[in-house]
Amino acid sequence: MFNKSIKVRKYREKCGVSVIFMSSLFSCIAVALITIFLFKEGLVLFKEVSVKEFLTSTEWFPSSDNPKYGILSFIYATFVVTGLSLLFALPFALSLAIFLAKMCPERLRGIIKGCTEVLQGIPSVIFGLVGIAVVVPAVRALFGGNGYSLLSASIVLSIMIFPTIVNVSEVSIRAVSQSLCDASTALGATKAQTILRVVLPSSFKGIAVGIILALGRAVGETTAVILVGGNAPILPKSLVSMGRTLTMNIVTDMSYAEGTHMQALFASGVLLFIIILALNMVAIYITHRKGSNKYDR
Amino acid sequence: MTDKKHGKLFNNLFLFVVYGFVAITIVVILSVIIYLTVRGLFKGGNPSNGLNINFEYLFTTTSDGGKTGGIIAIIWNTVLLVLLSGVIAGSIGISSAIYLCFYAKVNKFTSFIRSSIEVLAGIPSVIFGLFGLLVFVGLFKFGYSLISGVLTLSIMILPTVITTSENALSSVDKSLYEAGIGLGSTKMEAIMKVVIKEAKHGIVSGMILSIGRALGETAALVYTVGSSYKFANSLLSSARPLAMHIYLGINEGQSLDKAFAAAFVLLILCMMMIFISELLVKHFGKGIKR
Repeated sequence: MFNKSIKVRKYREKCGVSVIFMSSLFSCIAVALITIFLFKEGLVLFKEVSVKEFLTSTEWFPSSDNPKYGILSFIYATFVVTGLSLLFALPFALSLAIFLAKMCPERLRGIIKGCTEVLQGIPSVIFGLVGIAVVVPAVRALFGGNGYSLLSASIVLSIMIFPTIVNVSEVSIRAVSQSLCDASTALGATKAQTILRVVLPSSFKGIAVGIILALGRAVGETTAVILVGGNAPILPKSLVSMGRTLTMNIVTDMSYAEGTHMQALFASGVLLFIIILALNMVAIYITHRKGSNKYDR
Repeated sequence: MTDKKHGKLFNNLFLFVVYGFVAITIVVILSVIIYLTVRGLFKGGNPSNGLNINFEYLFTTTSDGGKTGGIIAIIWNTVLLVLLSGVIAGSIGISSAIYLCFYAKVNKFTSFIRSSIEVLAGIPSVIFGLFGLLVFVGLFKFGYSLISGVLTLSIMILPTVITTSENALSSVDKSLYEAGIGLGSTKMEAIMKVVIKEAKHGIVSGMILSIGRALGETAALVYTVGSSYKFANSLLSSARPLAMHIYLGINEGQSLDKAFAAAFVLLILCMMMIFISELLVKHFGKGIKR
């Protein structure tokens, strides 16, 4: 490489830098294009349907003679399924994270971590399939209804978001310094007191970020919930009745949507996008927030 | 004294609950994995019913909407799909990682690039599907085709490729790079001829992980890649990948046994990806953060 003249080598350096610079711009361009196209298609809807009607009406009759585009029941189902799945996953995920970080022998930790990694690698369509074969019949037998329900969707989803919460919170729980725990023990605190009053408060930030990431994943999940959630475009009356989330609505109706109906689906996409962005903002805010005192991480 | 007793009782109760939750979790994870394996291998999940997966299933083409026949063409489509998106996302992602790791200055613009990568990583796959439908299927007039699916998937896995490659690059000992510069090479020569060689296992491992993500994707592909279960013979032909075969199969009334067989094949492919990726990091990539 040294017998080439310095001019050639400098030229090649310049070319190389411009190529990699352009590639690094690609992510920005992709985000910009996705935003522009989504909003352009989605916001046209509001010429015909008012924002208020779109967000607060539960009447979704896109293909009737007098079409109605209200997505409140889908928003409601999305929140119920997401909240419930978090509620199911959280106690288990936090217990496992504490166990892995502070109470577990190193070899066992490797095995359990391997298991959660496998769980994280299972594609969502397979979770949906297991949901149909196991969760749906179980819910039908235990709670009545036909089994395809918000409850089934939440159960399947809770297993899917579980590894995210475990991984993120375990890292931050491990980061709590041993000397803090030792100090607490030396003051006579039991293990439970140490965990509840020292370890968890000082790793709060990481746990919160893990929960938010998991929420984002749950809101955006499509394939698994569509297979077990029932997919009925009505306001679900109870947890065991069928329901349709925002993502399910987009995927189901996209197969035949045209015109205003299509725009309504893109508008639901916009809403989904805004929810995810808001969650991301909160996560960024929490990570960069200064601690209230110097021991608060 | 009673206070102390209370404390002890509470402590034991708390530990009991934590251990209980941990035990339940591990049982659930293991049963999901075992269930998938057993249902995949045996008809109806019962070993006495005979094998569910056999050579005929793996090596014949699909017929009758997945009700009969095997999945060889679908496996071919899947491999084509993920490899092509790996190539596209890989070339853009790795160069992007080199820029961010070695050239980017700490300023507003760089943090703008970094936050757009983060945003891209958080966007749900169904939105990528909408975007692909609008742009690649509609605007570029590729139709429901392999190339639309490949482009959609490449954008989707790009953030993973960038983050994993950047971690691999930054874990290389800085003195190697400095030695290259000290010997008179330009910055790019030092990176391309020295640093990349050291980081290659980490980069490959990240690529495999990203391809594993692409393997299991459905929501982004339903309205981009099409659903033909024949061998894809050009970039513009419609091609159904494995994950979508499972999804569509359930909707089209294919038996659960067939779906579980396909799911088992998909699961094995995904696990292989994770396993190889882990192995590479473990043996060659010292200090790569995951």
